Amino acid sequence: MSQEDKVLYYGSAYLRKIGMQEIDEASKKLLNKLGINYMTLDPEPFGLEWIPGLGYPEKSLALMKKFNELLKKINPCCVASPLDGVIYMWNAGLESMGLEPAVRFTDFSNFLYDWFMERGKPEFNEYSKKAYLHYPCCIGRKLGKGIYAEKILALLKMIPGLVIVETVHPDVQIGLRPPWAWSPCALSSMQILFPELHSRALVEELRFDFEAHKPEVLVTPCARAVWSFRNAFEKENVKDVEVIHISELLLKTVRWVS
Amino acid sequence: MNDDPEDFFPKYKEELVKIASETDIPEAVKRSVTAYRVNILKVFKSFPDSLQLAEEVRRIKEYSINHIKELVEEACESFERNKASCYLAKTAKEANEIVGDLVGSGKLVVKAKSMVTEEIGLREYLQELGNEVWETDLGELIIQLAGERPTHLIYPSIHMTRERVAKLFKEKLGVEVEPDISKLVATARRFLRDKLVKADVGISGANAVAADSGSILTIENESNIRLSTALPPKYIAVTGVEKIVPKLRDALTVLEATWRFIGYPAPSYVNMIFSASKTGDIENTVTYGAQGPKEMHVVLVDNGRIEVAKHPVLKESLYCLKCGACMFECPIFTLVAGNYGDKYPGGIGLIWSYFTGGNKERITSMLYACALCYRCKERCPLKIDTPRMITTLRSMLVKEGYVPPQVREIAEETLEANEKILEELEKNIQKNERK
Repeated sequence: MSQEDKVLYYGSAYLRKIGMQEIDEASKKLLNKLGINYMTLDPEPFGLEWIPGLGYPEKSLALMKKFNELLKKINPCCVASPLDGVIYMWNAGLESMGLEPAVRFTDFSNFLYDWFMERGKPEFNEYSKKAYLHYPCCIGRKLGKGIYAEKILALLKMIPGLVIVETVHPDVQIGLRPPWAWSPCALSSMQILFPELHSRALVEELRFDFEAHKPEVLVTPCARAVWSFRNAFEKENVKDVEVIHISELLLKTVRWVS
Repeated sequence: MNDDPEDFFPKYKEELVKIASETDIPEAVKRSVTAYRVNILKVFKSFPDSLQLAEEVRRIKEYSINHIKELVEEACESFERNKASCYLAKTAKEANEIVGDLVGSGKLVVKAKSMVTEEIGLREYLQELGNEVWETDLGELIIQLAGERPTHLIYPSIHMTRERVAKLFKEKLGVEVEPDISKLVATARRFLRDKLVKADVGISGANAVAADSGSILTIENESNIRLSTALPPKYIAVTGVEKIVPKLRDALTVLEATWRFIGYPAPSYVNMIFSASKTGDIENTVTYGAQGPKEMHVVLVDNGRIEVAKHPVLKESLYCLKCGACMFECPIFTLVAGNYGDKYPGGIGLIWSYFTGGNKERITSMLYACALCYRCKERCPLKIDTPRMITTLRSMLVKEGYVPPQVREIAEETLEANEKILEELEKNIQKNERK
């Protein structure tokens, strides 16, 4: 069985678990709108990628190995997920445990960027807002690679009218490090285990950047980060900044596909 | 371990929640973080080679920790050659006993800030022997008066606002002083000068120790280390074995990287102490006990360090310069300061607390407050992978039975559910293959 012309879209089960099915739906609608041939898993594993970090690396690795073997059989062209913790674990995390992924795992927005570069860019509606770009730590700081971030930024720059602002961390201000190295974390694990501290910590994380830029929108390619930001903003009464996932933004703005 | 090990998590979690919501600690830390961002920007602008300097220090520390035992021997030989006595204390108890024997009782002791003496509880031990002991670093003095523990490696009283310090001085020193920072500093200066001049024994830690020359190196701004180590007739250096580096020039490189990442373009003072005070002014004959201390003693503390130096992941914690830069970037630290920690504050402090014999229940609970955001690693001059150490320690503690029940539940449920899902998925794939 080979599906090498198809991308495996992965993350629906986990997104449903955390109540972010709207991002899942937006991502799939976007794939359909763009005419991209994709498949999903039935049933789909969920949340495995977060278990090693909780202190259970051996058991989760055993299951990930099994999953990896199944992926070999399915043989998609790549796996794309709007959950960036997944990308981290199937790249650096798995490698640190001596396992090589059977297929390439990539961030959903990176997949789209590559697709556009290969097959041609769609046309976009104008979206005239100032957007604070959140680079997820899982595909930035944690991986220590700029490639994911560069593609995310390039993808967003395709949208006319969108003004993108980034972190004002001191290291970034003087060009010592790129913005993806210092983008605030969405603290989603804290939301699970320390919900009482999560929203305050998150708002404090964004304090310097929001004071400097006063953005209208926070845009991120990570659905778990959206979940975390939306909950925190609601609790802390941050009403003037809308949190939006890249899939949602693209679904709104992609106008025409060749 | 507690009779009911499942009970501990809510207790420590509640403590953090209470601190974040019912105290002025978040406000105090917020002010410090804002100041740190300004300071570090200035440092990096003035010294753009700071990252390269840090890379050099990383190499020095890697070598030193890989040769920790040989360096302890070499350092001790060098100190003895300089007529300073050198001791290796295997445990905290042994370290306290060595210093206790050197100090005796009924003495006035002045101490410079040192995390290792906090780790072993030296001040309390010497007080129990009947000595009057004063911390001479302002932040440490504030902590001593408050009866608390340091909440940051460099700024131990970072969690206190000026208003709280003024109140504390009134209560403990009997001095009415406005909550004005310069007036608070002047009050401490008056109080401590008297103690420094009269002290019998001075104690300091070290930012680095040079094995080749047998020297103790410290960085400071307040001049309290100079005075504590120069005025009393007896000087005792108490420091961890991980501070030893091969050469004096390595030690100076370590110091420079340390102060830059603390956020100082330059500290007020760098001290290098090789021996007790001496003179050769009469007949070129060296005689000890000139104007400064007559004796110098060096206590090198192991207390778990040599063992952890063998661990493939946790050994990285020994590279830590204790600059505290990571804490200013830590999302949880900004809300609760060093209460996120145990014997040592902060994420890396949890690793230190573990191998120096801290409270495992507390450490476990705090480990799960870490969001694994990797900001600490990004800021660390030596790129110490604290998040990796945290997940490693989580897994070690899970095996020892220390895990919050909520975490165990999430992990076990997820693993169990996925086991079934993968079985079903496998069947479905086989079905499709047959088709």
